Amino acid sequence: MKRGLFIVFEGTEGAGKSVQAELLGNRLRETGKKVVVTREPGGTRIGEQIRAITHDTKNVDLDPIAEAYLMAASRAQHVREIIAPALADGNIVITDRFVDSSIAYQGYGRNLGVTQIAELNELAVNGAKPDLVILLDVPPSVGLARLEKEGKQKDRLDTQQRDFYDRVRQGYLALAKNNSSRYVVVDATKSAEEVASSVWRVVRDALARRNEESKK
Amino acid sequence: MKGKLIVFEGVSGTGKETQAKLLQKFLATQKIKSNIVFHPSPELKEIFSAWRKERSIDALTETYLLLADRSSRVRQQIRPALEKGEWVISLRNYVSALVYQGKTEKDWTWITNEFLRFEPKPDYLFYFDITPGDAMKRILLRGEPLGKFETPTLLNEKRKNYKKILQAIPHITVDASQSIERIHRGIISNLHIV
Repeated sequence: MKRGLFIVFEGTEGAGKSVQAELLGNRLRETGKKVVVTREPGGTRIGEQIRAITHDTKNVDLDPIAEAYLMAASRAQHVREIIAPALADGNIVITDRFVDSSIAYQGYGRNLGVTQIAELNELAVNGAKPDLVILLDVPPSVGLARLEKEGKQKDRLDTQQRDFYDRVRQGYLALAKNNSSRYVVVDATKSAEEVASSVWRVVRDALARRNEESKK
Repeated sequence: MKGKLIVFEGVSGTGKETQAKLLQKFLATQKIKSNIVFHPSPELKEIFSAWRKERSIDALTETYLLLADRSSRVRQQIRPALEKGEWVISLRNYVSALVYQGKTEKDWTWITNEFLRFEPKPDYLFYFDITPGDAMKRILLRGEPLGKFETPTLLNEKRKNYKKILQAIPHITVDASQSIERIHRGIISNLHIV
């Protein structure tokens, strides 16, 4: 069986990743594709329990390094239980966040070192490399204002200072620049419908390219 | 760092915890304050046993959780205690992750490198050695439900792993089949404090 396509949504809080992942999933299903939509941290029962630890406001004193390991723990389980089997089964896998979230948040945001975080995650990722990373780019102030407007409860990750989010955003943009073959940056300050259209064009092209390649 | 870090390693049923308590009492008579810490922490141990029951956790997921757990423990408890001049008796350290979660030598290198980012080097590492038969007898005497690795075959396999891994790590072997008192005296004589 042909390996499926691995699509990752990345971006800071309030960029609309989970909504776009769902919209894309629905659209692909309408075209008859087999799709799995999942998220990190989480995606598995064990992963969701880890997410509950990292997103609990009671854990504001969680060490950045411990946080990095918890994210990797969730990821290791996620890759082995969900992502790798689904790809092997020919599904299009869409995940809301993957390893580049750790590089952007812990590596750039918390200054733990980009190489260190990449190395720390090497075994967790286990060679599951995204074919396409869609970076939904918004200035942190816009994303956070959105969350507030939606009245979403502020979890721990949302109450950090502004310069942290600025470092995360710049980190993402650096990742996009250094991995331009798989990254696409989408302006996510626009409406959800407009962003969804941009995302769809990107994915449609990626699928078309893939078909071309398999014909060769 | 002024305090000393003592690590007790070995399969279950070797009497590590009993010896830690005895050592702590002895150190108190020498006016040395000490802390007993567990690896994994009791909290994580509980999570592991609950999760292993409901579904399979990947060994690598466990390793990452151990790393998260230990890195917090080192920063919040072990380093501050050592810096104050207190001693720390750690029941297990990353050697256990090598024995229980590592499968290949490549895993061992990776696990070691990750832990050594934060783990202080022990001043003394005592390896409690016992035959699987004797270990099982003691485990059954505890009257608690058996852990994941507590079968004679697995205990034997883990003992072999310990011996292989410890070839590369400075340690003192303790014959854990001896009497409690004798083991205690042996440990003290190795510490060179009196």
